[in-house]
Amino acid sequence: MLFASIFVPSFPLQALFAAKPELRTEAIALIEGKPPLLKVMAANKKASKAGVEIGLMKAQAEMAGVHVILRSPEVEQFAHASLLACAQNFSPRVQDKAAHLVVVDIEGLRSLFGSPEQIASKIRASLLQERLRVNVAVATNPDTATIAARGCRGVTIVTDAKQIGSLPLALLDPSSAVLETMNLWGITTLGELAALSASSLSQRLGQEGVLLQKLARGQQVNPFVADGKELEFADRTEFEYSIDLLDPLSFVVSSLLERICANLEEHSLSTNRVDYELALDPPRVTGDELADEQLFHRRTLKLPNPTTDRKLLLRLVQLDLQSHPPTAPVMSVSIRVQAVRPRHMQQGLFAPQSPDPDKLELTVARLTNLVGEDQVGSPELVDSHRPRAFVMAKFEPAAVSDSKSPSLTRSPKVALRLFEPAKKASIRVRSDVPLQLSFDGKRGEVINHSPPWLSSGEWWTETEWNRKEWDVQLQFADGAIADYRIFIDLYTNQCFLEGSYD
Amino acid sequence: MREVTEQGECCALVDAGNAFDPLSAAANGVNLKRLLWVKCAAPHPKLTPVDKALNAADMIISAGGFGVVVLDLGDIGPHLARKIPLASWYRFRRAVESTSTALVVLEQQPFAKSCASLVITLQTSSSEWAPTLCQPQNPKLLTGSNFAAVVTRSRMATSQRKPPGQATTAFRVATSWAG
Repeated sequence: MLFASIFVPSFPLQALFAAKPELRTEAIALIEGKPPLLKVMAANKKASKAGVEIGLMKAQAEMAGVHVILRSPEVEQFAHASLLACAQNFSPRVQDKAAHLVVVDIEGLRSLFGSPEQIASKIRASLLQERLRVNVAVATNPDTATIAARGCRGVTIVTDAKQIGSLPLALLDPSSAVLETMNLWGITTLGELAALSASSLSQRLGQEGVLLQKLARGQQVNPFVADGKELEFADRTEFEYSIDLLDPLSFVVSSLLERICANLEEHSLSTNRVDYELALDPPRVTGDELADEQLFHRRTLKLPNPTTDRKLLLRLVQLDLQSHPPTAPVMSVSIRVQAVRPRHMQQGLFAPQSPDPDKLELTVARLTNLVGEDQVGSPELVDSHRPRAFVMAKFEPAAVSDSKSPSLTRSPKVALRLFEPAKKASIRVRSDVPLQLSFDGKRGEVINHSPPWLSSGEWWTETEWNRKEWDVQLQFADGAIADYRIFIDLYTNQCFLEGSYD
Repeated sequence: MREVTEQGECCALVDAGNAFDPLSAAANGVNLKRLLWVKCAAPHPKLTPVDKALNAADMIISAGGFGVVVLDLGDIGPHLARKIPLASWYRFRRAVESTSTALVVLEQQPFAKSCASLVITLQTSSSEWAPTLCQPQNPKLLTGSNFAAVVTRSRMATSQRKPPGQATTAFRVATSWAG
């Protein structure tokens, strides 16, 4: 394993100079604390030459004629964000150890960025563009790399632990008691500490001494734990005036999606789920509290195939907005996408044709917009004796397994053509025998009929049914003969035509 | 639809009258997961079921990749189906003729006229009712139907010779409970 440690010396000052480069030529003293106890916490060389030391009071520093500036956490946060972003540009495995210290796993980056020395130089050059002068050290473990980065200027490649032997002991951050003891022994460098006997050191200084010696010998003590923060791909915009038309809203959504898709592509990711939220501006009456649904319009779009196609996503959002328009003008738009790895598929030469997943998603969205929400999909049979026991499921042919299951029977079966909704009819029945049926202004005599079929169920739900069914053959006045399935709803005693036999 | 879905292809059914019965289709061996069903009969403030069905068929054919697209206008009366402009049928023909997609239109009369490559007229010649043992009403059980299929127009003949005027065939379809 190879790790690069990036260390920013004099971080508060460098952060200030990165934000305000014009101050670099002046004598600067940074102060911190609560007024009136403001003390100098950092000073540049010019200020030091003027006699400013760390710990001086603000008034004393001002008397020395240097420019006194209050330490700004915002400026340091910005510099830290630049440091992290730069590190993440080189490797996704980054450990954020402190505001001024970041460790990067650079194993396997040779083909992308070159040798470890080249990688370290590129990292340093990249941060110089952000006006941060950093030390970069590369070693086989993160602890050694960090010690080297803190102790050596510029780029350092540690191939042997002896390279850090000349560095001062203070870089290991020992406790003051241990440091004092070491000084009494005359041990001031890592090399001298590494040369001591481990057992003797353990007897005199305990575990802290052993750990310090391991570090001095170039061994790893602290594990490398890459930041596990999930990347977030979201964007948001607010309007000064609410928008109540789809076209301007689409324009805004387009720009948001463009940024999100570019971000996804930068990380070699794509998305299969888009959540968008519109903050609404409904008419209000003072004192009334509005429900969450009245204030926000939240929708989720799911795609079977991950994509970063902005135009496709925009069209899907537009179609969704057309079929589910918000109930009030829109005050803000926020979009969040779920990042997934792109799916690469190799189609077989002799594979049966199937719709392109992206085109299909768009087509289904258009069809939904045309005919309605539950009117498009793939019928799915429900395990029930209820008539018309099926639901409309999402059409996802890609999710169907390729295993061919030949149908149980090859001979075609008589199909029923349903009447939607079932047609009302008047019926003449004698002793459970249908004799005559009238519907749609026509009257037919029953010339053949099946025995009645009683069916009921789900009395514990609102969809309960209780009916008596027949298959009948009707002969109409014009001589036409047709077969129908009819039923009487036993709750209302109304006769209906379920469908005709095809 | 069974043949197409069995081969792993997808098919689409644009149903102008919501007449499709998934249970019958499943009994006939259609893989419903490979079927895109578009129901067009729900009321719409501006569009009629026929308008919706034509638009939906247009979208599906344009998307491509379907083995069969079935446009079911069987419940649409001739007075409405006749109003479909011939240009629509020509557009459909142009859209599918260079692809491997078959567009099948179910209708009461052949309204696609010269745009259709093949016109088959299907007629129920008789249905079969078997007696049961129930007395005294003497009910019967529907066991099957006999159909006659007549090729009334075909532009699919490969030879230069003029095809015979009419090709007729008859077949029987049993009910699922009759086996």
